[in-house]
Amino acid sequence: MFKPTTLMGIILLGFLSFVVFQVENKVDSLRGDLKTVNKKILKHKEDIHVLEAEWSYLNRPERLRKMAGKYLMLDDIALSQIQDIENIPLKSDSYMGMERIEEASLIRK
Amino acid sequence: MVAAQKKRHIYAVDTLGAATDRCRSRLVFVLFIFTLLYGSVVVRLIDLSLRNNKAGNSVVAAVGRADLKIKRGNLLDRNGMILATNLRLASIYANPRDIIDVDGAANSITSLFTEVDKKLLRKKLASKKQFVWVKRWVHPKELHEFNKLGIPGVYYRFEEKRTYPYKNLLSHVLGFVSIENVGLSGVEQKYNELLSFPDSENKTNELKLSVDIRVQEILTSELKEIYNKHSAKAATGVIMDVENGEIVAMASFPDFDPNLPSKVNISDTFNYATKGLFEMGSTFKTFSIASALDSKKIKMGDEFDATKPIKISRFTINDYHPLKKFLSIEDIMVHSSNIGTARIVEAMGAETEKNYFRKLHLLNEFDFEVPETAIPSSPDRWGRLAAITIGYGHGISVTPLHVVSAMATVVNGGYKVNPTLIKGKKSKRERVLSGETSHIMNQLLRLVVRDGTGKNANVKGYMVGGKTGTAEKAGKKSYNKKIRVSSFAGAFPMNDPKYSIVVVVDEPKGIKSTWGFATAGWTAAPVVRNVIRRIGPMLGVRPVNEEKIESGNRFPIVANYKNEAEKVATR
Repeated sequence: MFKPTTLMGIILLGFLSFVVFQVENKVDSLRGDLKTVNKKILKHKEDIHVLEAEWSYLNRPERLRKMAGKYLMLDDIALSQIQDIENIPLKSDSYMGMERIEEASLIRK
Repeated sequence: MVAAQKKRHIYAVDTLGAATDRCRSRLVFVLFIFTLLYGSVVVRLIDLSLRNNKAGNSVVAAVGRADLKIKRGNLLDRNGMILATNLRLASIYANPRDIIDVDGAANSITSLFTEVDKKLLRKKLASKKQFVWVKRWVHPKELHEFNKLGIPGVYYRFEEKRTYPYKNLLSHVLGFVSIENVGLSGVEQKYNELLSFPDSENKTNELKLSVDIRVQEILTSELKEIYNKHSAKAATGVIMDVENGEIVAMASFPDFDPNLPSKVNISDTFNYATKGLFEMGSTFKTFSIASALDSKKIKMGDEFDATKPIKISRFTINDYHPLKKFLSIEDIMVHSSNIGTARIVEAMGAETEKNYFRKLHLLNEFDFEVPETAIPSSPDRWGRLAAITIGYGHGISVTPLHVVSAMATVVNGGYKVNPTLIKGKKSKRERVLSGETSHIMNQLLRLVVRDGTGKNANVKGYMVGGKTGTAEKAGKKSYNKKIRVSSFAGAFPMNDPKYSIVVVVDEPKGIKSTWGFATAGWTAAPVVRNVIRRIGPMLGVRPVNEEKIESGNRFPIVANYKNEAEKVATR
């Protein structure tokens, strides 16, 4: 009934329209996904924004000082704690270490 | 007949042939048109797929990018900590036309938000308007409770609220915004446009300040202590990087919470650091002696007659602790001698003094990053008496910002410093004092703290240098001895100055623990000591071996100076 070329053409057309439909379908669902993901990203960005503000709030220096004093027993750095690298003794003569640090200290107490 | 038939036949064949020909040519023509059309479609398809043009991107545009849109950009400190940001909070409003039971609605709203005025709310809800605010910026927990009430005609919408996580810290620098997020003071006002309009990529601009919030907190807490201890009228301080004029900390007391602009007391918003004009007193001797040295009108080794007070018409210039002898420049700085400074000013002349003060930017207003600035006040004509009193800081009023900038210029090798609150702002280097003058001044300033009136500012290992100043405040008719301004302006470490600092305490009262003193040596100087001791390691300033430098050849003036007077006032 049909010439072979016509037949081939019809089959090809059917196949191609199937592929196009599939692709379009896929794009559509991906677009939907993208929308959801973007929404989520935006929500996360908003959360991060709030958390950043909270991070600054929690890092109030007077609060950190209070906490460090209470839980870590840390205070401001004293000048005598700052040393030149060559004044730090090697591990082998560790016994003499502390004395040498005291001796080399720029600031005598 | 046959011939005629034949003829007709031939004719018929002929017509058929011609028709076929015509048909073919039409076909070819149509084919050509279609080929052209489809061809252009193919070309366009190839063009679309190969070139990544705008039409291709429209898919992304249609879906939208996930960018957080904030109406006002963040303010950050030099380490990136958020100083000011916009947060989304719910605000409750009502449409009075939709409200069925006005009294019921007013009752249930005020039972939840106790601070809302019931009478006023009832009036609002009963009005004929279509929109009234009930309460702005509600806490998420309160919003949840509100939702449970379910009052018809009362709704909420999200609004942005400017939030300052560090509250009162930096309040004068940052300023605050109106309910509609418009900057009303400080950096918020000066940079209102930059912060509120998005840039080319449609993102709101951030602004990174030069301030370090940790240093700011230390300066603020120390100022707060002295402010309370001496029941002062105000206390203010500025710390500046002497190389580029970047302000690391700037505090003024009393302060305010910019989160609650409606509850701010207007007088608390006054920024004493940039707008407060003070007669600085002896602190100014630094600048007059630096000017005289740089103009070569005096030199180290000169001595000045301070044997007796100087009388000019009806005024007498006297010293707080008269030494009654000839004084060297070192002595004049260390003992803060008014008479000696007067002699130096006379030696250099009023014109030279004025020129140098202008170069040190002590006579003009700053173009600064907060709108609250002040024009220094000094006499139009600098006569003999005016020049002398200006030499020791009376008769001229400047802001602490002027003093800290001029101090930075004096100690950094003589390069003019332009104060800035923006990190990384470029400005050209312009020399106003010679390197030699700067080196001499560094030694003189060091002497004041080692042996002189500024002893209480010393931090062992940081080689602090500076000059104190205690000025009586000008009353209606004359200077009042009881009402003072105490100040300290200095820098550290003097062998290689990194930061300049000024602290001004306005009207401190004498108290028991300072033996009734409220002079600079007892108020401003200790603040400077405590602040430098704490911020030095934080800012990575290396401690130095003071004895080694002071006895070496690099600091000959300090090495050779011997204080001969028995006592030095901590003034």
